[in-house]
Amino acid sequence: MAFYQLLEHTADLGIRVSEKDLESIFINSARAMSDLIADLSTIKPVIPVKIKVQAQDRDELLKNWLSELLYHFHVKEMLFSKFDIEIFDDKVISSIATGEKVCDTRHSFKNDIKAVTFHALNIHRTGNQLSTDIVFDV
Amino acid sequence: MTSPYTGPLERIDNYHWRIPSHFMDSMRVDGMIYANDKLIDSIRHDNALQQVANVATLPGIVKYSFAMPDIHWGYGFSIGGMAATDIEQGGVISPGGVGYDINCGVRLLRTNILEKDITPRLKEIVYGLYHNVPAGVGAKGDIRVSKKEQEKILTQGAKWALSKGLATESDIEYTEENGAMEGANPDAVSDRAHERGRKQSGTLGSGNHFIEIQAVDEIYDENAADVFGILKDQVVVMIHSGSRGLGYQICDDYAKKMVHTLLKYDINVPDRQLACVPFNSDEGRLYFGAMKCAANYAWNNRQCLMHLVRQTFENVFEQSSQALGISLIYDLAHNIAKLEEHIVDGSKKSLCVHRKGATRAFGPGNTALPQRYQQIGQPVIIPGDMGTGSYLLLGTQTAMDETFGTTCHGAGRRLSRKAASRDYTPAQVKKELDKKGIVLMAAGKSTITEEAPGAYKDIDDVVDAVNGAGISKKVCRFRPLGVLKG
Repeated sequence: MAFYQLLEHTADLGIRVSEKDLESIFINSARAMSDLIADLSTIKPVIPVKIKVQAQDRDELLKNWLSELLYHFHVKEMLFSKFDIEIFDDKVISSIATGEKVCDTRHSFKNDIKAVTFHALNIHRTGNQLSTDIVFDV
Repeated sequence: MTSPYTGPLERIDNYHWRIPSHFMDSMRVDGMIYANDKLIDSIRHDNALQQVANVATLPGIVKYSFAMPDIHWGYGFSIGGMAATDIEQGGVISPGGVGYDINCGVRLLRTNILEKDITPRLKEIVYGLYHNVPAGVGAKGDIRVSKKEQEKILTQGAKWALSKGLATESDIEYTEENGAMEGANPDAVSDRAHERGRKQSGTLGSGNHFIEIQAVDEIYDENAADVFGILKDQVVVMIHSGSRGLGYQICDDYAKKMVHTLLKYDINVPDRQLACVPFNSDEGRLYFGAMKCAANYAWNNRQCLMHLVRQTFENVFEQSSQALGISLIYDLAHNIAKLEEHIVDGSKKSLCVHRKGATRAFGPGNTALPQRYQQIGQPVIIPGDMGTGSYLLLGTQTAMDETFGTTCHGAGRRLSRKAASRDYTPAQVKKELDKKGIVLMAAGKSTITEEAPGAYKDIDDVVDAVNGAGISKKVCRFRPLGVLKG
């Protein structure tokens, strides 16, 4: 079952993630970002990395956390497929992201995500689910 | 996610449309859209015009919130827009008004080679570029520098490449700002941004970045073509790239900071991505100093890419690049903020001019231009999609009078990446290009469909609109022969 939906956006990449709770929104947003960069199924969860981030609200927290994961891709050459997280008061996230170093032979790059934007990022309740759109600059 | 614009839009004449400031209480000026009847419907199709109205709310904005004919939806500011703020009247600077890819821009090289002479070697050249130029996701450059050396790149820009034998004096003379904006502040750049930049000097990037070999297809202004050293069927090369991860990180760092200082400066914005600070503030000075670093990095990057193009041509033709006549016509930015003096309501004002997906187009007589071009005006390089064509235009006095010396930057996207990948296959795109004899190499498979010619607006319509409005004048049109995509 698809854990994210690709949206129409003229210049860049937009996704929609809908889940039952906040932690799942965060985890599947991160998995979606990894899947947009390289096929998620090819990323082995072997190296754990601790990442802690804070923000003023949960939208900013999601953006900042995804940006931190993206930094690890661009600078540390890490791709992640597994995420264990704890969110405190919608303002702090303590996480362990598990993945591996980029491997040119096994990871086929799909998109060069350069930034996570605030555009359309708004975690809100629709019915019994939480949902948000996220636009990535490519 | 995309919803059509449903607000007011008044047609003024064949090339001008207005969003009246009464549309939103918070608008300080009207929106002014440069387009034509063919383009205006597609412009309404996404939410770019709402963004034009949002930008009109920025403190200190003067004259209009401008939109060019290639406008499409972006973050905060649309892509293809320009906004100038009066810095003496609390005018703001906004990272969203520059864009993530600071100094994404384009350079145009001329050669002495004619199309008939390059055709037998075209594949060899494009494959040579593919092998020599680091491109695509995760590509790293061969130019590895220490942090200290990178700081020199951030302050010296393309002059760093000159110091390393990767440029000529003429290259520097024909680059906007002579390849470096003064006042760049490496201390205003985060360690994270430095890290992202260090591995990527001399890399092309991905997505819509490219190196394209073209031939002069049609000349409209013989006099200007003569000044630029352009003849029919002559081979030229266009390079489109920007500040890579460094610029992205700087934009992200400062956009994040400015969201938290809106309260301090009592600024309300309808969209967080319009976060801004007064130009004359500590935060404003820091961002501008960091932005200049990214701009200089990008000019150095395009200079390094030009060096790789020269080397590739030298290898294939077994002649020096001087013998091949490879020289720079011009290099310009289309995502940048500049401090410029312009006349507003009869008075000279210092304006922070944000051009995001928009190109400077200074008219004749402007001393910011290389001496040889001052009589005719600034070259304006407008890349189209990889199957259609590109243009060289001139800046005009009308641009100076109407748009603070600004014009369009390219074809502008028509289809989303998702729609393009749905509507086209790589094989289809390659077949379409093959029919036209265009050789394509792409570092990423998805790039081929996402960058399909049909995904873009018609460049001829975009250029006709700016030419018709008088804010740029056609010099010549180029047709693509071979292209390297990231």
